[in-house]
Amino acid sequence: MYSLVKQRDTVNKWMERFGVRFGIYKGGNFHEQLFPFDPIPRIISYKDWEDIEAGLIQRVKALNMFLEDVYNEKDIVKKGIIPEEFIYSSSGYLAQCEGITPSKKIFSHISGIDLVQAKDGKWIVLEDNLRIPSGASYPMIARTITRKVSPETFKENAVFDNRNYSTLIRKAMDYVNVDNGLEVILTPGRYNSAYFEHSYLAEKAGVILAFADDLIVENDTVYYKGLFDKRERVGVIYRRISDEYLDPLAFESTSLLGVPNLMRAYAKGNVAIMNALGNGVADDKGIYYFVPKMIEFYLGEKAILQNAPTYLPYYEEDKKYVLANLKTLVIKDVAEAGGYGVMFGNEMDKKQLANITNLIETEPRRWIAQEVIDFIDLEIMDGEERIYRKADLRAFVISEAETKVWHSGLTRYTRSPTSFIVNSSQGGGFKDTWIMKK
Amino acid sequence: MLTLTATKINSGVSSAKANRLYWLGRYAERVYLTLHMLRKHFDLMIDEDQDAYISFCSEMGIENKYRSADDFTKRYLFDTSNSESVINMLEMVKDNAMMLREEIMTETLCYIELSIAHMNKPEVQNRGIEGLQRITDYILAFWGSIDERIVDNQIRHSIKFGKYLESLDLHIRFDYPFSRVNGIFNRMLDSIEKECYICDEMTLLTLKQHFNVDDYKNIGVLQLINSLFRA
Repeated sequence: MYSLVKQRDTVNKWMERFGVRFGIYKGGNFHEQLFPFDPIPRIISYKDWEDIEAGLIQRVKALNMFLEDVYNEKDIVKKGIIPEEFIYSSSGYLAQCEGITPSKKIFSHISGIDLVQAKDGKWIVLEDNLRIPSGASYPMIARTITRKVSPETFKENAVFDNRNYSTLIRKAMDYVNVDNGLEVILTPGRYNSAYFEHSYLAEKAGVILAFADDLIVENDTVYYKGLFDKRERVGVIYRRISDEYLDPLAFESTSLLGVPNLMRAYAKGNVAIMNALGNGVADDKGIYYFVPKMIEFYLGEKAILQNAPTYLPYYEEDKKYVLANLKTLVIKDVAEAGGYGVMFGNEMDKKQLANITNLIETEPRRWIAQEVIDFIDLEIMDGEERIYRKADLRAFVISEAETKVWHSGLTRYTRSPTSFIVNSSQGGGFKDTWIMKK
Repeated sequence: MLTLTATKINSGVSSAKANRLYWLGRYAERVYLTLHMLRKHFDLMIDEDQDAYISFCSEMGIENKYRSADDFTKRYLFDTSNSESVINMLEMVKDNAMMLREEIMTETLCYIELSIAHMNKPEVQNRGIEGLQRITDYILAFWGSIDERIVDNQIRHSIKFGKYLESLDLHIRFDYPFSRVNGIFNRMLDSIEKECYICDEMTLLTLKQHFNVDDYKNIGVLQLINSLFRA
């Protein structure tokens, strides 16, 4: 590993050569920048991984069952496990998806589960991402490069190969493909922050990278528009566009990124969409609170992986606790993502505390509060110096005939010594994640 | 390592993709040939014609908005705010290439990334045209990678159709003899006759009638060449 650290400039040159970037909008302008890579990997022993893997599989199975239930029978609401307000007031809930069961009954084909490791060694789930979780391509290409630059590192360390992520994606696409149609990744375009990932995964999975204009819906069937009006049936779309922009006739009417009538084709079961529309109801920060209960309800098991201690001001008792302990909690706006809408009580002044108190009183459903998890710091290189920074782990779970966890993950770290926010959009960097074979 | 065992081949060329393939070929060849033509003109500027850059602009069909040879060197090569500059030609190659990564592959795209990174280095910009030999090398490697890595004939020949069409256009503009230009024309025909579906057959038929030693420099021929693409 020492060799890997020593050769980090070479690794970064390869990153530049391969165009490993992410896009960011600053002041209304689009910029592309290299995603800072730290050469010291996060290492997870096989024993630890076995527990994490079992917990992730259990969690994603329950979340998929919840999505099927919530858009059909709603047993979990009928049995009083989740109040119906939490379903219908969720911005991720789509009434248009009522009664729709996607191909092979899979809703979340690719789930990105964000975890942190507390100082006592326990892994805790911070967030579920069941819409368009991104970031897997970075450790995948980082591994391709680090194996070139420092082969001895991988001779000396028995690490699971992570370059199979695109194969896992492809297998999931093959599994849900309707009528053996074309398989496409639908991208919003070159100026999307994750465009590198869209194009790289299309290349590595051997599928077509499609833009909205390349697709058309006729007779409730999706076609790829070939040259001179040639039409080729599309069987599965791995979409990298948010629900609201996916079909201007069903959702946001001004969207130029989507495909008109795609929702009709999907509702009729003529195309599979990965991930399914309406998944946002399950990764809502408010619904997160109920995931351990979901696991018990659907699987009859205790959750293997714990949530961070979470309070819902929706419940009077929780609200009292939250308002009395604001200074020690982290408050999250359930409508926000990407590290936005996260406020630490200990960083707020009197005026801000008064403001958030008022908001919690008036819109309790909009907020959750969590105990601050003092998660472990990871070693990163800062010039020639080794320093410690907060880091999380996004694990990727792929659901097809079986539910599998990719033997790697995106470890994101904060570059600021005082911050807990690791998102790339907020200046964070990334590490490879090594799952050891022993 | 778990490898892809799926047998299904996902291939398709939409009209937007055909456009990108064609322009990828055109812009990449434009960078390569522009540097080639520039080297000739910079050589003339040493001791024969200090204003050879003016004739370069004229042959290239661009406005001479440059104050001097030095100004031309800086702004035509490296100025990102100058839409005609070589660095912007490379950006156009990159724009198209990035949207075709799954077809041309990262290993091909990387030669364009390397070219742009090289051109943006201050020490390279200080060296002027001499510092750009590496760009020529990268573009040649790019073409080699296109030939070696792209197995889909339609994709490969669509890019090469754009390449030869651009080459034809520039060689005619820069007054190359018919024998040379005709060789390029035949290479373009060769690409078209393979699996390239983006050439308008009627226009090609008309072009063939006018493409001869007496008429090949006529503006009408250049117009026909530039109307060959359809998607």
